[in-house]
Amino acid sequence: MSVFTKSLWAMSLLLLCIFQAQASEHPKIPLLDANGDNVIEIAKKSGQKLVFNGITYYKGNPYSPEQTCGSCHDYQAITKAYHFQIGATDMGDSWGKTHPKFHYSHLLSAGQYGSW
Amino acid sequence: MAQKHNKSQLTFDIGTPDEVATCASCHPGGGPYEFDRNGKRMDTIDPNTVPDLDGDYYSYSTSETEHGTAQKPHKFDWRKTGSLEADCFTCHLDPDSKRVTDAQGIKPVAYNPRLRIFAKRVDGKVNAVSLGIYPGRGWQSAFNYSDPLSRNKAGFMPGKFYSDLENPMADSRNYMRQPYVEGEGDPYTGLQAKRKFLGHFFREAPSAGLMGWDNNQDGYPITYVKIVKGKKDFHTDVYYEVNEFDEDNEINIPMLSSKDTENGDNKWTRVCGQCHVGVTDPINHSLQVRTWGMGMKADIVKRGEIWNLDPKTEKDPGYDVHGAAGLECTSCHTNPRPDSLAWDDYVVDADHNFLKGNDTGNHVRDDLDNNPPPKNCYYCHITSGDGPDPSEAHQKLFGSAAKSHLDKIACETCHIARVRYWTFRTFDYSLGFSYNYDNRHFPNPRGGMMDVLMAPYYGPIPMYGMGNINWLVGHTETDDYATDKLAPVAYMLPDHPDDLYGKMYQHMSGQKGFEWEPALIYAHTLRGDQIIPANPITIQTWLDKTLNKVLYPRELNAAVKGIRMTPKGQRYALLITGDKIFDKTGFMGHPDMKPEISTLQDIKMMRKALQKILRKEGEKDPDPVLFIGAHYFKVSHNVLPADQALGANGTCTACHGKNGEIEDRILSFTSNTIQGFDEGIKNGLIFIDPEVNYIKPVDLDGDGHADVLGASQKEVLEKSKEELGKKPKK
Repeated sequence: MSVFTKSLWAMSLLLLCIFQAQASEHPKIPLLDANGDNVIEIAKKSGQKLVFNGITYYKGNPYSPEQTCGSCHDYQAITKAYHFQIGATDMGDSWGKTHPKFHYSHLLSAGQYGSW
Repeated sequence: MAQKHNKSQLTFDIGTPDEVATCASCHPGGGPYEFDRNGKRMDTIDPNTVPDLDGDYYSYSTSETEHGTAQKPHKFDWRKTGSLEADCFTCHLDPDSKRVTDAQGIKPVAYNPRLRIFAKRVDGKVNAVSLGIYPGRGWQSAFNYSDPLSRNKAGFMPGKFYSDLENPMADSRNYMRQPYVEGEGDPYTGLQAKRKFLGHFFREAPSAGLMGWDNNQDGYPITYVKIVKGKKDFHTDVYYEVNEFDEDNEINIPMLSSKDTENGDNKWTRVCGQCHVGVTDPINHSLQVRTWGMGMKADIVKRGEIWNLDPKTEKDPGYDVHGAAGLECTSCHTNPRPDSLAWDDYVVDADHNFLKGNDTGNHVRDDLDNNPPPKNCYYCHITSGDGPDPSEAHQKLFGSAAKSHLDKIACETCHIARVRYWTFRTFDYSLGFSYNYDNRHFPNPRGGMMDVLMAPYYGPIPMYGMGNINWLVGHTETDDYATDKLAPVAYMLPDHPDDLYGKMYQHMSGQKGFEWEPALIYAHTLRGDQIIPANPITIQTWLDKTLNKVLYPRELNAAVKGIRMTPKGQRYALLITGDKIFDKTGFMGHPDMKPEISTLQDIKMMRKALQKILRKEGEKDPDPVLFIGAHYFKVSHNVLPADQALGANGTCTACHGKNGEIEDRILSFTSNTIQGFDEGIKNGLIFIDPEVNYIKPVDLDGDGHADVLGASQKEVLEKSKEELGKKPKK
């Protein structure tokens, strides 16, 4: 194998690795506000700014995780998990009365949200 | 938690707004923090359109909860505060990449960093608050009482960015949920200091959470948040450093993928550790055991769990053999699924339900318990063969007894024989907590008050309070028995056990570190009914037998006017009836300066005060009784090396025989007994939760006087085995 061919293979391998590394990275994203608008676009348009030692901040809308991440990911499905629901999935005013093993009729669920 | 539908305040504990303001320092938002119990997004609802006393749209003020009230709650307008959305960056922003570096060279964590909170005051009244950035002269600390700027000897430069690693009240995201300033507003009970709450900013909390992320590494975070006084209320301004974003106004995220497991960085351990365990930050070396304010990491509260990422010895607090081998939370608690919706198609499945076991004390989503199970001792070491098979070693050490013991005893029982960090044991709210609400109020048990030198410890947030809380800090031998060593919570600063208060405690007790022994109970496990290690968390409070409800904090607090002191320095709780309940017990022979219920007369006095409050709320025939209950929380992490296990020397005496773990041990559930306990039970003044109805006064040292409420280890094993027969197997 010639030096040229070896170099070509090495280059191809390197490019492949770079491509794979990039493919495993999360693509760049905009931060979106509650209306689904890009907060930076809005902030730049607002023109209201603060400058600290040469660093400029523009006033904008608070970013919305639901809009930002939910545009690609199933936010509603993800937040059905117990870490988010913490008891809400089986909560009810009469839960304590129908679950006597927990002893106390005023409890509304077995989780943080409802029994705390 | 308040019911959704309420006829009166008698069923109104805390509303959903109070829950979000108090509990979301651990909980990530979304779900019930965003949508009401009818599935509607709360910040779209006009509170004037909901039924009276709707549990999702009514709340009590911080002052009402703290000082107590029998009045009705108030309407809460979520349209002003916003709902609290689930912030994906809580877990998915790489905790190490692109951290901001503050003006002093400190790199706080990337998400939800602890920041200096500055306040501008005019005539003593705050009109603006700046998170992280010191705007310049005339700005002081928002916490000018508990954390003044003078604590930083290096001073502050205008326009520079500052973190505050030592201040558990200063998390950027969590501060926005319940921002407050000191120096004006509501007085701390019994003290001169005051504090004022500025509102709730749930909508802006995620933006503030990003104030540790500096994408272009210029020493300033991508967001900056100010709270500003308007004509009527405070509002929040969110700013963005637009140069952190590219020409498309987008940004590359240092995203933490579930793939980043077991690569030596322990990033997921630290991410999970934000809420679950104490963990040391490898970059700024801070040990954080708090979430925000009074909130403690969930598994420290229940089982003293910290995760030591850099242990010097195998006896250091938080050592774990699996942690030392490079395993982290996601190694065992996630389940690879190729059909994942996660962007990397790897580990966390679409519903984000992590693999959970079946803690005997927790009952949230029991349907997910061991379904499928997280990787556990037996799975890795026997079933899958991933870890070394210990069968032969046990056979060699214990001979014919090995099999029967391995069948009947969970591995954790012998291999987590000691826990070397403190945890909680007793939450005594029987006198409410309104009287002990100040984060600086550390009494010197030898008389006099200590100078205030510390950053805040317990903070003035609405739903938590100290009460008479006892920590489980050690194991001790009395004349007759081995037992648990409990200490009043006031004697240590949990973030810094080696700090001044910790040293004071060590001086008094002679104890240099923490080391306690888990209780042993029978429980259902994947391999049948087995003995497991656990910590019985005990609660002492009040139960209204008429309504069958444990009384709410605001009701308990309303019964106590405050703490007073006699000319001789003896402290007492002054009840609304004029009765006085004195501090009669203490620690290591010293009064702890916390009044407590320790006689039947105390019970009768507090009962009378509570009846007065409940009648005010409209209850005709209230029947409050002192309630004591406990749940056993399983101990299953911080696994020790084999040579520290029970029976490591090949003998039976660690558990069996006169000085053994089973025969010679009393479990202390509370730090003091109640005189007339049996009579109180008989007369219905004391009610013990059926799960632990065997606890009783115990004489630990053979002097003829009971010292604590407790039970023998042997009895606990017998009773828990009996109890198992009544529970469904899972």
